Amino acid sequence: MTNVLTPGPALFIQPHYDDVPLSCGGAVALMADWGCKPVIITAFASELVDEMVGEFAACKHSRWKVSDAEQVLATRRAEDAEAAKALGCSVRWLGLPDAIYRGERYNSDSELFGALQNEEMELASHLAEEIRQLPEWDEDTRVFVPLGIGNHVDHQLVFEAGRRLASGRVKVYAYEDCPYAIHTPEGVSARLAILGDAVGEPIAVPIGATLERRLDAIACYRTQVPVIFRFTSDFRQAIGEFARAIGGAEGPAERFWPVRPREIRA
Amino acid sequence: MSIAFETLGENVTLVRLQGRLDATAAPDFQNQLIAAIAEGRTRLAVDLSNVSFVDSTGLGALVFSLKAARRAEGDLRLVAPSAQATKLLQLTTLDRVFRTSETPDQAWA
Repeated sequence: MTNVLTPGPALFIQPHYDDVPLSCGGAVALMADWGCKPVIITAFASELVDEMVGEFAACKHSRWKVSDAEQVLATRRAEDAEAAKALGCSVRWLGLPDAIYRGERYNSDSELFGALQNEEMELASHLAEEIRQLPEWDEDTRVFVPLGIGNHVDHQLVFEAGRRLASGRVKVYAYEDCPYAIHTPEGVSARLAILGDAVGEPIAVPIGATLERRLDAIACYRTQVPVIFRFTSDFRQAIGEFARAIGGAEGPAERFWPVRPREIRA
Repeated sequence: MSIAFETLGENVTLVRLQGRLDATAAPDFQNQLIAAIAEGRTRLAVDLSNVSFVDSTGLGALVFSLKAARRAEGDLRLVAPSAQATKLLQLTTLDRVFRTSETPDQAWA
């Protein structure tokens, strides 16, 4: 057992419905088996009203063939709850709007996967504070955030919230965003180059038989699996091979990077 | 958090809140607003002047209730949000969604 998964309270923060089961569902299941009561927190899970749907969001809706946003929200939440149940944990949905609904900050796919807008750093600070004030928070809580592979701005924002928590003496680990890390492996080194000394050396955590629970949880996202895994006809094989490659002789594993506090300058 | 309903003129309901509108308080707050809307109180002014902290779950409850009010051909407006609530509305860009006033009387003026 590594020090990443020692027993104790843990919050796994996912930007969007599905990110945690996709990336580190095995670790969540392991902690649930140990009685740690891990909780998945979906950050960008807001309600939606017309004023929030700008030109870019409308374009995305059209591409996704979304005609009834209410129904989509209900379906995504039902899938998220079912996946959490498969992992043996609970899920909480926060009310932050997804990047495409945050005004005109991101107006194209290149911006959505580009640099985080400066004003969003304040939102990251708010998210960090909000996490600390959740009912599930305990002084010993460890927090897991996405590393930000693929550079989606919402993943970067949650990582930044994690960095702020780390600066407040919270133990924070970054998980390896899947499937970005699977279909674009060079994205891992690219992101690490951007982060520099913001994270420490990666730790591979063997997940053993909980790989199957992770796969079962991913399968709960019925509306998303065909889209997320359009690069493969067999997502179970793709995830399994990736996990076994990470773990090597120790069997399937998931990788985590310790998040370091922000440098405090005098 | 405490919630009190008062009737203002022109069929407007003032919802006075006191305490924190956060992940702990939001479910009960939302249930009470939805019940009020179901009773026909569809024009709502939510007074945030005595709310010390709002988080995104609290904002979510407000948006959910706003949608319900609109479906009933009403609206939900905010009164006197604190600097913290105003900042969160701006950061989330939800300031574009809510009409805000400084006093209850101005909410539906």
